[in-house]
Amino acid sequence: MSERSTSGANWKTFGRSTWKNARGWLVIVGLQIAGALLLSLAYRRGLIDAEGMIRGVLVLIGLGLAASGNRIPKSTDGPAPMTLPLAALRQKVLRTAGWMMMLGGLAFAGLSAFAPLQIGLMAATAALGVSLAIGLGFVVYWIHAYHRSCEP
Amino acid sequence: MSDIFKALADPTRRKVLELLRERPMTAGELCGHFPVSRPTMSAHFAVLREADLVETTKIGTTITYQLKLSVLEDALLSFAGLFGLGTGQSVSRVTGKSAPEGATE
Repeated sequence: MSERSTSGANWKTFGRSTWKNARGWLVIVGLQIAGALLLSLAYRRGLIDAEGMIRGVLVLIGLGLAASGNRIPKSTDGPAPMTLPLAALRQKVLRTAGWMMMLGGLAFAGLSAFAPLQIGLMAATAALGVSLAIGLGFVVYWIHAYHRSCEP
Repeated sequence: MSDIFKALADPTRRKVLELLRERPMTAGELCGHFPVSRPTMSAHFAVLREADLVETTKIGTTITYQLKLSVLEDALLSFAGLFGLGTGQSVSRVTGKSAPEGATE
């Protein structure tokens, strides 16, 4: 049995899974910072030009967003849902948020890497914004549908 | 990582995950979709739990299974289903003649 949920509010396990999740997020952030520092060092040593450094940092940001999105559906911390419809809603919301953030992050990274820099940054930001807006739209719709189904 | 591949290699377990994609279900509901004994299904659930692909939640007095797939695992599940990974192993398992590989229960 999964430790946390089956025994109700098992705070010891809850803390452990929260720490495991936090560690995952910290690793992503750490890799982004380390990557940015390496790119900055490479630029100072003349190994890459300014455009290469900017593109590199933007790709790192995009990949970081994608990695974060990948982890979202597994981040089931917090109290267990009280009813089956609520559990279904949580599952839908987490999956949609994860997929949209991952796709948005990958689009951001791809456009930052390969599109001309002037257009690329705008297009990358727009792609990320659109994917997040679509995800948010779905989430709002499902929450609204859930509340409507709860009404007598 | 090998736990995940082992869990996804079996068509019965993939089917369980596909059913859970629709909504969280109780063990009884899930068992109703397969022509196998409950202990066999229980072993499949144990493999999925060990791979951290499902989560069990106690809602009221029933244990409910919920999906706990990362986006990449979700995509991997789709690919595995698309290309029929592990279908050669399905016959003995679906008929319930042998316990699933890696089962702990």
